[in-house]
Amino acid sequence: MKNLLRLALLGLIGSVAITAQGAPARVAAPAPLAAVQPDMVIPDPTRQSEADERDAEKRAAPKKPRTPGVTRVAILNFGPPSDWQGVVGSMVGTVINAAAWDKAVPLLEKDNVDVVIVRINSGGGMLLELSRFNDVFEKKYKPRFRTVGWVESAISAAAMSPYNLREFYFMPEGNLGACTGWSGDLQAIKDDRLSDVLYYMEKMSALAGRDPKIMRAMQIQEPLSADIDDDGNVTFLQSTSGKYVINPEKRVLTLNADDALKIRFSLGTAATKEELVKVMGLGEVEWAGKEASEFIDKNMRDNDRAEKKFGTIHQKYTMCVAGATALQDSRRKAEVGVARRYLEEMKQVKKLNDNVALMAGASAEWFRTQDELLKDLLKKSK
Amino acid sequence: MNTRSSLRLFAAAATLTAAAVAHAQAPAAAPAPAQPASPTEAVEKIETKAVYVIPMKGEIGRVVSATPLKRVLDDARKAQPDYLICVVDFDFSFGGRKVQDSANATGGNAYNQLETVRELGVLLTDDIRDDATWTKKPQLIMWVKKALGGPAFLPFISPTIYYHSDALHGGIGYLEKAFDGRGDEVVREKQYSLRLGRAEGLAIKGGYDPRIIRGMSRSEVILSYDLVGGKAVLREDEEGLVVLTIDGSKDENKDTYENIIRGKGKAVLTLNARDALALGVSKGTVDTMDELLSELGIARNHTVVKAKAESIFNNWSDDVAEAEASFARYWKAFNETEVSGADPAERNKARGKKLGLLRNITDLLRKYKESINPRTIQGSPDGWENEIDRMTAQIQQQMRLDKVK
Repeated sequence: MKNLLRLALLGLIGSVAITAQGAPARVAAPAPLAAVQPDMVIPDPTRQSEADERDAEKRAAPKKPRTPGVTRVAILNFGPPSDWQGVVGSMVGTVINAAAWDKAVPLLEKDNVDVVIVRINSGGGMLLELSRFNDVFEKKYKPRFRTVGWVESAISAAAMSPYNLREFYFMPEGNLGACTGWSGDLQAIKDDRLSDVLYYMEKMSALAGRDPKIMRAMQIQEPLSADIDDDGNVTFLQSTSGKYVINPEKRVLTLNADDALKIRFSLGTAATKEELVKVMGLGEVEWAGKEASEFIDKNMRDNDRAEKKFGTIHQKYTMCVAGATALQDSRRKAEVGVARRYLEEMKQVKKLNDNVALMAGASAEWFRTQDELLKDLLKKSK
Repeated sequence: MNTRSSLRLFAAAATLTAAAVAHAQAPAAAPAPAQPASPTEAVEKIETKAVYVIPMKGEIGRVVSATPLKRVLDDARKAQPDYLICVVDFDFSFGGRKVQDSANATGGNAYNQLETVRELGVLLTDDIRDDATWTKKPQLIMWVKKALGGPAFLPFISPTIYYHSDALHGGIGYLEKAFDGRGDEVVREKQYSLRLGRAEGLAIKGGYDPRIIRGMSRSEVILSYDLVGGKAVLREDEEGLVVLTIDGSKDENKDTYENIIRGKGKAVLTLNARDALALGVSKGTVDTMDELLSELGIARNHTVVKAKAESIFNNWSDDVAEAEASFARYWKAFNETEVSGADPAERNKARGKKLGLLRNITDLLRKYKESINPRTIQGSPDGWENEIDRMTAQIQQQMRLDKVK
C-alpha cells in the first residue's frame, strides 16, 4: 500500500510541473518549483473513524422539515455537465475536489436529503484524489444517503473515484472506463505501482459489490465477457469465451450505456432527472440540496479559475523577485511588496485547493522558503 | 392527424350525438338542427407546420460552433418551428486544411473535433428539451450530404436522419494510428477507448448501434449484415449478406489506393445512402428539400421560416477571420512600438500604448477563441491569454521601476 503513495501525483490524465522561467540571468530567481510527493496515507474506507462521527455531529444543523412520504433528492455535479459548454475544466483533484464534497455533507443533512445523485461528467484526473473521494463516499455519503452515480461521462479517475458506490445509472450517451494510470508522454504505470492500483480497485469493487474483473479490464489490456442466465444473473470471465464479449483482447474497456445495462453494471438508463428517479423506483420526490449543489458548482468554478491562473501568477511572482534582487535602492521594497501580493494569491489558491498548488510543485516547504526569501530581500534593502 | 384537427372532429361528433339524443327524447320539441363541420372542412384546416432550416457548411468548429449556433437557435425559437432541419454538408477539413473525401486515416484529427460536436449536440437536443421557452419542441432532422471527419458524429444525435443519394458519412478511420510511436500501448489503447466511448454514446443517444461508430473508427473491426424480414441485422464477422468492413489491420486486407479513391475501401466504414438505409440509420434517401418535406409528410402543409441561420454562420466566420487578421495587426503594432524617450513619462506613454494593444488582443481571443485557428495565431488562444497576462505584468513592472530612483 505504501507504494500507492508514490502514485499520488501521477495524473491519470497526465501531470504538469511548472518550473521557474524567464528570470534574468544575473539575478537569483526563487527556488524553482518541483513536483513534490506529499506524505499522504491512503485511508481505508471500510473503517468509520470516531473522529468522523464527531465531526459530523458538530456540523449537524437544524433540519428542514420534510413532507411525509416524499423522497428528498439532491443532484451534485461531479464535473461540469455538458450544458456548461466546456467553460470549466473537469479534472479530478484540481477542479473536482473531495474536500468540497466532504464539506457539502452537512448542507445536505441540513436540507434533510434522502438521496444524493452524483452526476458524473469528467475526463479524469489525479490518482491522488481517488482514495479521498472513495473515503468520503464510503464514510460520509453511503451511511447517510442513498448515493447513486449517474453517468454522462466517467473516464479514468472520474470512474474510479465514485466506484465504491453500489448503484450506477447511465444517460443514453453515458460512458465509463479507460482507467489506465499513466504520466508524462503516455507512459503507463508499471510493476509494483500498477499492482497497488489494481489491488486498490479490487477493494473498491468489493465495496460496491461488483466483480473486480470489470475494473481490471478498464485498467489493463485484459478481455472481459459475460454469460447471463435466464434469471438475469451475470457471470464475468476475464476472457472472450463468454456469450457477450464486452472487451476484446488487447483493448482497454470503456462501457457504453447499452453494454453497462446488459451486464447489470448500470441499473437503468435515464436521459433526465425525472426519468432517473423513475428508474430508481422512487415515487414522489422533492428536489432538494440546492445549497450543497451550488456550493459544489462554485467550488468547481473557483478551482478552475485557480488552476488556469496559478502558473501565470507564479511567473509574475518570479519576475518581481528577480527585479527586487537586482535592485539596491528603495524600489526593491516596492517590488518585494508586489511579489508578496502574488505569493499571497498563490497561498489563497493552495488554501482553496491544495492539489492545484501541488500539481505545480508548490509544496508547503516551497511557500516557507519564499516567505524567508522575501524577508531577506527586505532586510537587505536600503 | 394533428391534435387541433382531432379536437375539431371530436367536437363535431359530440354535437351530432347530443342532437340525436335530444331528438330521441323530445321529438315534439323540434330543436334547431346542429351545424356539424363537414369532413372536408376538417381536412382543409390541417395545421401548417413550420420548418426552420439550418445549413451546416464550412469547417465544423470554425463556421459552425457553439456561439453562432446559439444565435441561430435564438432565431429559430422566435418562430417555434415544428421541425429543425440541419443540412449537414461540411467541409472535410481540419485546422483550415481540407482533405480529400477519400481520406480516411484521420481518426486522431476527427476525434479532436468530437468535443465540439458534443457541445453542438447538447445545444440541439438537451438544451431545447430543458428550455421552457421552446414551448413547442421541434423535431430534429439531420439531412446528410457530407459528414466526413468530426462532422460524422453529429447526425447520430438525432433519431431522424435522411441521406442525400451521394452522401458520404465517415472519414474518422484509423483511430488506432493516433499517438503512433508514442508511449506505451496500454495508454494508447486507453486513449482510443475513451474517445470511442464518448462517440458511441452519441450514437446510442440517437438510437443507433454503437458498432457502426466502431466500424467507422478502427480498421480491425469487422462488420457485415444480413437482411432478416427486410431489416438489417449487424454482425461482427464477414459472413453476412453484405460485408461492410474487413479486418483492415491485416496487411492483405489493406485498402488499395484505387479502391480508396472510388469509395470502395473496406478497412473502415464510410456509410453511403444505400447501406445507411439498409442499416436503419437512414429513414430515406432524398435529393432535394421538397423530397425531404414530402418524406416528412408535410409537402403541402408547411412553411419554411425565413431563417437568419446562414447569415449568422457567415458573419461569425467572417468575424473570426477578421479577428485573426487583427491579431496579427495588433502584434505588429506592439512590436513596432518603441519604448524610448527622455523621461519616464514619455517612455511610460509608449508602454501604456503597448498595454492597450495587449488588451485588444485579449478581447479578441476571449470573444473568438472557440473558432480561431491555432495555426494562424501560432498557439492556442488559452496559451496566448496566459502569455499576454505575463507580458502585461512585465510591462507594469517596467513602469514601476522606471518611475523613481
